[in-house]
Amino acid sequence: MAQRIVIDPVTRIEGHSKVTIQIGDDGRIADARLHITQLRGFEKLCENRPFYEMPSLMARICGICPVSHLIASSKACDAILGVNIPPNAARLRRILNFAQILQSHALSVFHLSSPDLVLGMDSPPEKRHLFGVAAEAAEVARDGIRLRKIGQQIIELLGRKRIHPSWVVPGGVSAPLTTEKRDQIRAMLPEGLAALERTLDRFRGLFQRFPEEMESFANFPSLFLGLTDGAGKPEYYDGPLRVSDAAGNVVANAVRPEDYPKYLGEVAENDSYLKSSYYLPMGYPDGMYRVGPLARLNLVTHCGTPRADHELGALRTFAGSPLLSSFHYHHARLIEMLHVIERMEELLSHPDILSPHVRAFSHPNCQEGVGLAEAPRGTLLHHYRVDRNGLIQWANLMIATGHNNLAMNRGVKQAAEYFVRDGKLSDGALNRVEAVVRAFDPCLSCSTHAAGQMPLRIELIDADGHVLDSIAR
Amino acid sequence: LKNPLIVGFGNPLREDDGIGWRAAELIERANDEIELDVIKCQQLTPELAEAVGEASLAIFLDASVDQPPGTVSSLQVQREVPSAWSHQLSPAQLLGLVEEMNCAAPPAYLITGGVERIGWSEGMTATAERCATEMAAAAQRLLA
Repeated sequence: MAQRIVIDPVTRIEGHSKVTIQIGDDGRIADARLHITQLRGFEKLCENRPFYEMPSLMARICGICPVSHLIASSKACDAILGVNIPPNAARLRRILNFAQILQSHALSVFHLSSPDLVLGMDSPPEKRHLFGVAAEAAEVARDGIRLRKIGQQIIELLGRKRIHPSWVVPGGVSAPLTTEKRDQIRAMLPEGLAALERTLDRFRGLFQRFPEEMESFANFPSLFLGLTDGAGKPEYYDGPLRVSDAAGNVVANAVRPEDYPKYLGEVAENDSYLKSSYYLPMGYPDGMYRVGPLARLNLVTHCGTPRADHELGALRTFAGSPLLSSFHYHHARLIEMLHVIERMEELLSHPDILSPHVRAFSHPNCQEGVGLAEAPRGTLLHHYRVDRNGLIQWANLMIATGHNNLAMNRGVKQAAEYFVRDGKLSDGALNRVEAVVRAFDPCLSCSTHAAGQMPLRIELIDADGHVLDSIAR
Repeated sequence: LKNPLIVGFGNPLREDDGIGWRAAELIERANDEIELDVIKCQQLTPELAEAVGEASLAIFLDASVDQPPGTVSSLQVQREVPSAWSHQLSPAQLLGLVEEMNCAAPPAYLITGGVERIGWSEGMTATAERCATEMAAAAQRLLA
């Protein structure tokens, strides 16, 4: 008899979603889907608001990655102003973006995924959380908490608030960096590097304990998309888009942000509020691509900073290149954390980093603007059209989780096929299905989280809708 | 040397829910000559564990809708087994995390003030303003 397994909600991710697994009459997985169950509507509610409100308004989309929206939105507004922002404003925005990547990656690796990695996918669910990690490996928990705090403190030093800073504005940033703040930020970086080195020393071995997960966690050919410097290094703030295939061949290069509609399409699925993006020239769903840490590292030859390059070399020696299994997102995140700390040190050493010239002023000169940046989870795009008075007439946002939606869905199915056998529910198997989603670190916006502890309930339902079995956590 | 730590938490954009922040500001102002660490935040997160672990005494200040408006309650916080939910912790769970990370948790107190309005607005009611002053006084007695 056909059955349906529902995982609702998926835990240890940012936001609300559920997974359904359809099991056919033959006991095999017929289909598996990730459903995003929350609707925000920011594209609509910003209409007829002044464009200069967009950075602060759009940052409210999320409490985890507001900085990413702030930056992409401000870049779209820069384009509407028709200005080139001062070089030092771009440097300061880059530092803020790197700090955001650091704190968000720390949250993903340590708070959300380290319980699976340190305690094991089959460990008791009542212990499978950050506090369980603290009891088992206090140093890992301490380093994770410290790394996230460093990222948050840098954001607060620059933007005056850890969450929803309003320092990035159309035309640049609202205030220059002071000597005192620069020195405070620089003083934190060596500690961050030391924590990451300790983590990597432990996690290199840990990762190798998960051969089945490497084999089955969204491990398939796909395209990869992200910003690069146009040569061979990753870009997080600016630069053209690149698309490469599963063999490492560049499929599209030097794509300007404003040309994205020629390359990227979106479809709305009936069972999810999250649209799925695809590479337009290959059509839907063949144009499935991945973004984020794994994709960014697959798009480049090297990072361009010594510690990150050393670790990237080690990962490629172990797992090959391009990296196809989404299990490697975790390792890629740690490499990016090294890289962003190294890049922040470079930027803070720039002779003009204290320059007071950090903002360009203008009235709207264009009626359309596209802003692109790399958020922790992948490429983020804000596209606005305004009328002659600068009021928003239309907005389109393409977020990293939408770019990854097709791959996440296919990954959920692959893991279900691998771990859910004969329609039997086991907690470890279901945790692995969730862990595939977790590897992508989707951000479904934490602002709609329910208060209190989130339950996990899984039901086996037959084709007639009867509940055959259930597990509650 | 370890310093006392004051943590005022809540959302000052939700009217009286900002009472913890206001009480923390009053305590900070009244103690400008002694070493005191003051943190104001929306909610308690794991990142606070480090600061709590380094404190000689931790005083948490929060709004309460479960007690009559204007009343102040003070109680010592006991370590609690942490929950699986790491986005938002109680003071007791935060102490638990500190100890899980092999740090000695300091003596800790939770001072709550009963509030009457938590709508979508800045600014507090007169009742909450008076209550914040009493919360600060209660904290002052603990500091002494």
